Amino acid sequence: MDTRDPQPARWCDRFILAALVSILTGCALTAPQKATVSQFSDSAATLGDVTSSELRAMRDGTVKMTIERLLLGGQSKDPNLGDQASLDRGFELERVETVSGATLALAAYGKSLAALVDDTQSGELKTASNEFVASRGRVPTAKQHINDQQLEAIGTVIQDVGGFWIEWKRKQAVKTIVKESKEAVEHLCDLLIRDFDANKGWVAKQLQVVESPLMAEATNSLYDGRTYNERKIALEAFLLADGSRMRRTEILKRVTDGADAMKKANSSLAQAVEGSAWSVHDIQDFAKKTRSLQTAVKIIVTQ
Amino acid sequence: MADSLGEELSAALSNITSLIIKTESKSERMKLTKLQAQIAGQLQVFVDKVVDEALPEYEEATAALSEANGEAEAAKKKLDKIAGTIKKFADATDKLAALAGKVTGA
Repeated sequence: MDTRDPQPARWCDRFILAALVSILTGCALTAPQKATVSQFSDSAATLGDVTSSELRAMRDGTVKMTIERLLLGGQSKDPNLGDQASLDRGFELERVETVSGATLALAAYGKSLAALVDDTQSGELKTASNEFVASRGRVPTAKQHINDQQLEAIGTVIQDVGGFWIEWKRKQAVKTIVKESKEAVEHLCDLLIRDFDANKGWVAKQLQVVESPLMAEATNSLYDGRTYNERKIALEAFLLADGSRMRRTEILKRVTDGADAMKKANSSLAQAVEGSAWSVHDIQDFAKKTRSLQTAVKIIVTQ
Repeated sequence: MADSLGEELSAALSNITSLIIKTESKSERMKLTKLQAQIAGQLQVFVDKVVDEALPEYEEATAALSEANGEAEAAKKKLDKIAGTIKKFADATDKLAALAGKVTGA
């Protein structure tokens, strides 16, 4: 039989619980930290997904432009250019798959972080604590010693302690993932900044290699065109080349801006989850840049 | 040096394309078109070389990030498992209560 005075014991339990709660609360992600991770995650997913779909669009555009050039001007005038046997020259499947795989990995990184901070466990915990309380209530001997208020308190404790435990584990997981991914994310961003640069990158040059000869053949066809249909065919070819030029000048710049912003935002995110001094500016700037990319893609595709 | 070669070829391609668009003489345009194809072909060779060097870098960085993504998914599963374990505990208690009820009844 317990001979302790119940009153001090209850106060002691409450004190321990309060101390545990305050310690565990400090170990969980705060609401602003969660919001920061979510905003970063959404932007990373957008940058990765949009860049990947743009690469596929560049490949499709290359095939169409090469077909059009062959229709207008016949066999390629240089053996290094695409012909009927290599319509996708420059954006071959392997190249697109490899670079697209990298941008999709960035998107997956964003989505993984979002899933990690997304609280899908609370509902399950509440059900668990309700069931626990209900089952205790159904034990006849337990009902004799525990009143309804005490049962409710037990349920709350299960929910709270379970919740704090999950939040603590959540923070540890986010910290680890962000820290471990930092180098790979930065490296991938650097590769995108280098290769998607509208002036110096290979993606822009590759688009130019396909686009310029088509522009020449379309010009020749327009000068030589005597009928409405002949000129129409030439102008449709111009339109194709112009779509590629828009990608080259507008989309590529936004991809590099987005990648540059992601690199900075990733550093801020690492600081944010570490709990050290951090600024939301880089993460907001990243969100702004990816929105700009998304909008530009919508406008160009609509055209 | 390699970078500047690519930029020189790219600039030449832009200039010659502008010339083709402006030239009215058919024979001049034909000559320029042939020259443009040669420059485009050289730029293609240059791009091929750059891409061949770049692709392994992408593969390496992608593999590193994919590994971290896999860890994130595993961590998410663990979080769900904690909630699931507490739920299972409640279920087990419920079954025990039912058993206790039967024993008391007997």
